[in-house]
Amino acid sequence: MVSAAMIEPPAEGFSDPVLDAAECFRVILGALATPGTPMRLPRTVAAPDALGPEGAALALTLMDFETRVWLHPDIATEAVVRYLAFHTGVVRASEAGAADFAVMPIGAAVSVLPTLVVGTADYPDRAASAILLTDGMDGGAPARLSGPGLAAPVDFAPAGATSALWSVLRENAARFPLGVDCFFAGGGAVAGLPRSTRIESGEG
Amino acid sequence: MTTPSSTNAGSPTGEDAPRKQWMAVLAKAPAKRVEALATAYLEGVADAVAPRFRVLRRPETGLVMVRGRAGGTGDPFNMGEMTVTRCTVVLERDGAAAVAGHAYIAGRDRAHATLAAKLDALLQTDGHHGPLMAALVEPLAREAEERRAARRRRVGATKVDFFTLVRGED
Amino acid sequence: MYVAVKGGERAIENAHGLLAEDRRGDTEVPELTPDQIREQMKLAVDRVMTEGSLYDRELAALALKQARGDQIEAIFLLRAYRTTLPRFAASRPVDTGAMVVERRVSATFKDLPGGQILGPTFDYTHRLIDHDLAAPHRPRPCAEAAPVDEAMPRVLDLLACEGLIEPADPADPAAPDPPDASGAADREDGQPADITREPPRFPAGRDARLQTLARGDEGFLLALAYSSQRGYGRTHPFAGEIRLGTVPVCIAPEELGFEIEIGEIELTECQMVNQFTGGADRAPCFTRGYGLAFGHGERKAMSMALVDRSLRADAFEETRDAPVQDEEFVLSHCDNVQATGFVEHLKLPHYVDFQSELELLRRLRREHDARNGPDDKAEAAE
Repeated sequence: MVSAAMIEPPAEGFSDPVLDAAECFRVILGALATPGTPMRLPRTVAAPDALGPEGAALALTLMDFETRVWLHPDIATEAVVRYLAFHTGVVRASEAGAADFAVMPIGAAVSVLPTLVVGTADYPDRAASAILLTDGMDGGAPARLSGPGLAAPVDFAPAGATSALWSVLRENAARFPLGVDCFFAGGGAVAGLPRSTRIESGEG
Repeated sequence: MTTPSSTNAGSPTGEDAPRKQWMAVLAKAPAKRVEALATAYLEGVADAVAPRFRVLRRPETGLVMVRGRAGGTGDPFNMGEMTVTRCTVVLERDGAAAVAGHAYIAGRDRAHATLAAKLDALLQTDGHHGPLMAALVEPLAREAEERRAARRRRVGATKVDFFTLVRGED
Repeated sequence: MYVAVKGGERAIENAHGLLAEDRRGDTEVPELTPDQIREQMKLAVDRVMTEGSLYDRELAALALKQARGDQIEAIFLLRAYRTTLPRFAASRPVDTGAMVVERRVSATFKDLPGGQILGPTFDYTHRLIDHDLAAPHRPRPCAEAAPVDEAMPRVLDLLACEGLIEPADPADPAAPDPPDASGAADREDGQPADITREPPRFPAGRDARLQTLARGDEGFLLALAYSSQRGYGRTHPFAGEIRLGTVPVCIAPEELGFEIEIGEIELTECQMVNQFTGGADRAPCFTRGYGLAFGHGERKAMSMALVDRSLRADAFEETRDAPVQDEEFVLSHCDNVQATGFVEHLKLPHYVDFQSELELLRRLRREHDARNGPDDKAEAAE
């Protein structure tokens, strides 16, 4: 593990870590405040393939050595692991239930989301955040989102979304104020789906 | 100068001790001394083989939380922070894999961290390892040892010599 | 009701200008440089680092210059600065047993391996003003002798060998378990509590206590320690060992995968030895109090060690009736940046608060007068 970092350096991160992360953070805040609304990040990075530029920008903005990340086996390539270790210092969690952040392909979310930490009544902020990697913000099974941040309901259908996924996310929302907050990332955009959003999907 | 080969002098087999040692020497030496010796060394390198570096992580100042132990040996606790500056560069090499050089140096001296990262990369290459150890790392280590020894002699002079007052017999 | 009042911008700007001029003082006198402060006001710098909870000599010296020598103001500046920086890592716990010793004394054993090393101390000075220092002067060259030992064993280990002192091993059974689930969760990954990240909870673990005391106000801890010696929660202390010196700081960056040394820091450590008469199922033994400070800070480290031991009252089934034993009292009030913030905020405008108080008082007075007739004395005063 030692010589790997030495022989093949990881891909580059933000060119200005402080300002780039601050600009991305502002957009990520906006994404959570207006659920299901795709947003373009002002900065992306030359990320390892399995993570993608948006997933990598989210990771570099949100993670540091005091957070624990769980990576789905499809994401946990050597390049990604080394990239995150170098640029964020984030600690790998052994299982999804011990993580502050969980990164997964959207297809794995149905089985992973129910295992994440949802916070406690005293500290609902200690819930995990999930990053769902997708090919784009349309083409999947649609859901109608409403609630805080949305003046009128919006339709949201990220690629790879299924009715089973919306069903899991509805259960997540039913736990509010506990529950997981989700980001969808890929295809040039990110979108947020906080636990406070009400979800209706066609197949119910 | 020879062309650097693909092997790393530091830790090709996970043996990190030599690299840890030079990184410690570079971190603890006065920045001015590192700069003086490095400049002298690099001036002696022919232009054709002058090292080319790419910055992977610009020098950045942050904090390290210093931990102590309760009672000196017990459970750890967070004592307070210290400033540290880090930098990572990549040494590009023709016909060989690039080498990453890292530095984490106490304090806020960006130039010191950048130079130490470059030297860390060079020290991992066969071509530069030997000459750099002789021209830079070993002299810096020696100077540090001399400073420490001089201080230990002065501190040693403040050691208490107890003597017992003997009472007269009569 | 809260009413924002605007105004005074020009006055504030001019006050800053006057402050800058006064900070400089008489321009006939050479200006102080941070280097001079760092080298010649070392103990002031060290205190600012310890209570500012940030080891950086240059920055602490600059803060002292900016604060015109006001320690708490300089500490405040350092605390504010640290919030602007990302944290890269936590160090491996420093090994004070491997300290390169500059000073090491024990009040409990005369003869000990390595000896009693006085180092640079005020202890045996006569506390007479040295008028020679008023003019530039060059100190006599230092004496030299056989070098001190590379590393010195801890004095308290001599007692530990015989089992006469409580052990100070990891997972010290004397340390109370964190009482709630979230506190325990913090320790699942082996990380000690961090009061700069998590709000304090009471009862606190010893890790949170030591962190709070390490950055606590020297004067406050000194007074509490003194109160314990005078009988308010007596612990019968002896200075088992005080050592001053440098230790390396090591971190293991993720990208390297091995431990590296990033530099050296100077620390003062105090190990107090305290009496313990034994409990229901524990034999009498000596107990420990621990103090650790950045730089040279003996008074601080000793005070911290005494207060640490006093706060462990529960662990030794001692009654808690003195201020120094009251964890919530001590830990909530030992931070001088917090304290000065709350005390000094009283000088900021409270015009509206006070107007409402004034109105209330006038009404009460009218009611009082209506009941009892006017107060002659008050009349006279007006």
